[in-house]
Amino acid sequence: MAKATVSQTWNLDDSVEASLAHPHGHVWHVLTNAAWELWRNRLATVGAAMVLTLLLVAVLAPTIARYDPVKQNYREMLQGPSAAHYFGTDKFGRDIWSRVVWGAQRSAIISVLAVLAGVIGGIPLGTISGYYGGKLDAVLMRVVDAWLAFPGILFYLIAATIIQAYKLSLFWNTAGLILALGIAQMPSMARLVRGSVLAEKEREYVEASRVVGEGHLSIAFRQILPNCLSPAIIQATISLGFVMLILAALSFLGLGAPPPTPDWGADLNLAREHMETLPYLAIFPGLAISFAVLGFNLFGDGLRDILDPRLADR
Amino acid sequence: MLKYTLYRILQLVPVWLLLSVFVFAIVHALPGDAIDALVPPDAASDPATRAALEKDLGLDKPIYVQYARWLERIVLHGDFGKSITTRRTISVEVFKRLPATIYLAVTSVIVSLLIAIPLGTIAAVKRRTLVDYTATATALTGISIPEFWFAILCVLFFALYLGWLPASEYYSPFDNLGLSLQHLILPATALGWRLAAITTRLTRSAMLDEVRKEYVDTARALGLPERRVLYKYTLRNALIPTVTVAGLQFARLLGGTVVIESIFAWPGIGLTLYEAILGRDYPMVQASVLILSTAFVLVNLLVDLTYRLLNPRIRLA
Repeated sequence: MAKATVSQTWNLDDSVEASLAHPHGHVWHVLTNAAWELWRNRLATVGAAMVLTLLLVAVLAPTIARYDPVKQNYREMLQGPSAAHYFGTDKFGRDIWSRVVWGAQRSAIISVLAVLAGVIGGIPLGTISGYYGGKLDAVLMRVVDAWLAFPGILFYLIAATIIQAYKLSLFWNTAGLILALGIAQMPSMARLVRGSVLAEKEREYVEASRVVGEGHLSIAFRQILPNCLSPAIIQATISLGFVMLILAALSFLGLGAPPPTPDWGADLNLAREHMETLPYLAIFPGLAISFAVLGFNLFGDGLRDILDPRLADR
Repeated sequence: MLKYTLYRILQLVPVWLLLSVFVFAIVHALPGDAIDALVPPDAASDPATRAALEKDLGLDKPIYVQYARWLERIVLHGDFGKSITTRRTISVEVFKRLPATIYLAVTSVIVSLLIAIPLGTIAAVKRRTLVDYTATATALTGISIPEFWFAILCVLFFALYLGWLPASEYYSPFDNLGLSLQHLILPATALGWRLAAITTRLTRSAMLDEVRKEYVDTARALGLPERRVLYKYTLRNALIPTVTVAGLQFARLLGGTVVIESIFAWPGIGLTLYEAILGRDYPMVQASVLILSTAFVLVNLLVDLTYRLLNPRIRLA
């Protein structure tokens, strides 16, 4: 009742009125529209298909892996690709196809959870900083500055070193990695959301909500934030690929999971010992990493074209 | 400009202090303490020895006093302490390794610009043609393929299969320039190629932005040849963001060549840090991280100031 009056007196445009009247009907429209645009953008479709494939492989790992990924078999060491072992076997006779498949699951779980942690930490930080402004904003943004001033790879190396030094079990080791990768995603996410919130909070509908008597937190998170999510979604998608790359680099350096955990980066590192005799060992884990990261990049680019048309064709 | 420069330098102080707190905290986040690292376990378990050592090392003081002393030694005396494994002075060790990293970082950025500027420009000029799609696709794969895998593939193909280039090792350019360059090609390409992927896209979009501007129409209306409009006027302005990002990439490379340096046994600071991590040489880790991140912050500042100098439009009011 009150809301209808507001939109009449303030003469707001239709979309605002629609979203005030039907806060959820709007979402469905946005989704169907997005699906259509996605189909139109072929590269993004390819990316979406790649991401979907990766997720399918990750979920189906227990069924499509044909061998135990950590079981050693000294009778079948260092074999080339064959019908029995699609991608061959490594120096412990472990089936590489199975390791790549389980590695997909590990990669997917870690990067999704890490990006989620970054989103959960970064978005509220950015929203509050942007909405309240003033001293709080100044302090928070200086912290973000210092955070961003620190070269990422050094942070990851240190975090991995600390995690390794505690000699944790695989579960806690992975949890530590997820936390470190997630923390590193927070500042850029906060900065991004803050920027959009700063622009968005000057809009008329915010004033309208204030007039109606909505609380500050409710305005910030229920009115402003939903309109600032597009850049955050794009950033999160691209971060998924980025986190996978970092994870692979850390495991490649021997700072990821303790062996014999199936892990793309660690397997690539193992392959270096046999580069002269069995180069194919270095091919499949690398292909898997590139496939996953490329998928997220293509999909993220496509999402950007859809959600933020001003930036399309760049 | 002077005012802005001073403002930025002052702004760095709290940022750097936060960095130093973080770096100081690393060692305290690790299990065990300095005494366990210094003396054998049976001596460390003896309470009398432990107390004496704690007093000696200042570990009995509150943590903020320890931090202040640590910072004082670094800032006033440049004293980072001694490496646990090599027993050599850390500052000397680190600065000895720095030139190799700078050498690699500078060449990689040059390689990347040599790829990115022509490719990005052509992609923008021949927009939505096969050339453009190829350049865009190349850039996308460049962003997606991990540099260490690319490096391994390069070694496999150029060093092991074709035998054209050496697979690893480092020679100083001052001792033997030819040999040094031979060993530089693979690591510099592996790094530069990935950097180029980012700057190619940037050059392309900056060019596309720039050709829509009014001065381009004016130049065309004046009848200047298209070639001159594009390559003399437009490209120059479009290069500002590209060169800025190349500068930022250089800053990042100073601290981020760990993986490539370890693949190619390149004795830079990244390899030093990596060896220190593997050898649990925590003072060394602490020192190299602080030095690398300080360099990163300083180079970033320089890039930012140069950017403003080149582009007066965005000078702070």
